[in-house]
Amino acid sequence: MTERESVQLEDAFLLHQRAYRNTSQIIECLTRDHGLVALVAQGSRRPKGGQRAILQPFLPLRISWIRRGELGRMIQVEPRAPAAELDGRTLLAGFYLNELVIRLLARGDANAAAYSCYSRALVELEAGISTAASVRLFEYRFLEALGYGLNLNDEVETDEPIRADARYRFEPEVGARYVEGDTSEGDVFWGRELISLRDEDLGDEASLRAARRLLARALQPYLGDRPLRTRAVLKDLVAAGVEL
Amino acid sequence: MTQGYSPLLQRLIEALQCLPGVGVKSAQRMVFHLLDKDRAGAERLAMALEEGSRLIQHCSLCRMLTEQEQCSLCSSERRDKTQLCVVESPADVIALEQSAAFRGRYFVLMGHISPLDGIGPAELGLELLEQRIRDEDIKEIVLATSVTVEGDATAHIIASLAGKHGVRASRIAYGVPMGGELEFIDSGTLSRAMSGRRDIEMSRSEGEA
Ligand SMILES: [Zn+2]
Repeated sequence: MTERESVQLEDAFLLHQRAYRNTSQIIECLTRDHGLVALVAQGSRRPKGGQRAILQPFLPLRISWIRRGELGRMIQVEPRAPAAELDGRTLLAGFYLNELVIRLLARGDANAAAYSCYSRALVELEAGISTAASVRLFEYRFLEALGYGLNLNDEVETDEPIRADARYRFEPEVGARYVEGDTSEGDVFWGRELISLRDEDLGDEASLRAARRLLARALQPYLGDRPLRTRAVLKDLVAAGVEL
Repeated sequence: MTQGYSPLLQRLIEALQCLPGVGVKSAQRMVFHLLDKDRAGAERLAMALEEGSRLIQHCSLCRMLTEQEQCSLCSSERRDKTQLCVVESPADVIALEQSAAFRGRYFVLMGHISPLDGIGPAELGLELLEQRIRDEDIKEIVLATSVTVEGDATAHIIASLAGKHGVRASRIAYGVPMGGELEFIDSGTLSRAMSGRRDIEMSRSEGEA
């Protein structure tokens, strides 16, 4: 990208920020029409007139920027709506979403579906029905938005529809393969568990647990061997006895 | 860039660049100033740095920077031992002390939770904090973490730890600053101020009501 890109007030969410020089930040944003965009927000950390109050995750923003290479320069930022009201558990889930987006969405992929997937997940987290289910559904839909959608309709070998009372081995990037006999390996699922995820119906504990197991496997090829930091921190929090 | 300078001079210029926001240019300026205009200052700085980096550690109770095993705030008998204020940095402790608004003791996290950067409970010393909540006679944890999403998350986590041990947790109020005029305040601050509003207590004399 050597051409100068100038974008006016595009819908965006800030996913991550880090301090840059004395008073600036580098912000990583998910934008509606330009995918992931990294920008220098000059002077944003100044005590007076800085934009730190606005440059927060989970706050719907409108951002203007110019860029020629990978790293652009933020020109303007304004809030578009009140911040999603997340607390404790939902807040940490939100951080997890942010890391997943940064890790999985390729730079330069102007993916509008990924954006709407993300903003929908924030709305669902805020509604507070089930944090775990909202996160699982985000993972499921986000994979779809990235073009890695799971095939939970048919058995891969025979093309026959998945049957609720049959058992299947889930193979990442391939799909569900029918298994004979009574096996309880980690990658084997009941057909009904696959169907619940496909139908986005994770109301009961069993299908939620199965969805978690399955999506962890589905995400693995795209995450590689670099573990997610938010996942490790969450684990440490649980180990420290923090009830969220 | 520093080529042509003598080795010692080069080393000095490079060493100063470990400071945040100091590049080659400002490092050069500092070095020339110290060597040309203020040798005595340079020696004081060198000694203070040498001694400081050798002797200053974290307080074993609150993680404040100090050359003692326990900082003066923790070892003071005059502080209220039932209140513990949790802050992000040593500078926050100093700011609160200058306001003279708090008479209890502190705990310094040296940061806030930042899951995407891998900063979690271990980095913030939460184990030590929980041990204090468990072992000491603390009645209230005052959360004075920054008013950011990460600061909020940190406050929630510590409030949860406090709750586990039956200790009350409070969060410092935030909103419109002193002398603040509403039209110049950003919408995020205003909405916090609005949602955190509180009743005006009217003092009523005996005869009334
Ligand atoms: Zn101390």
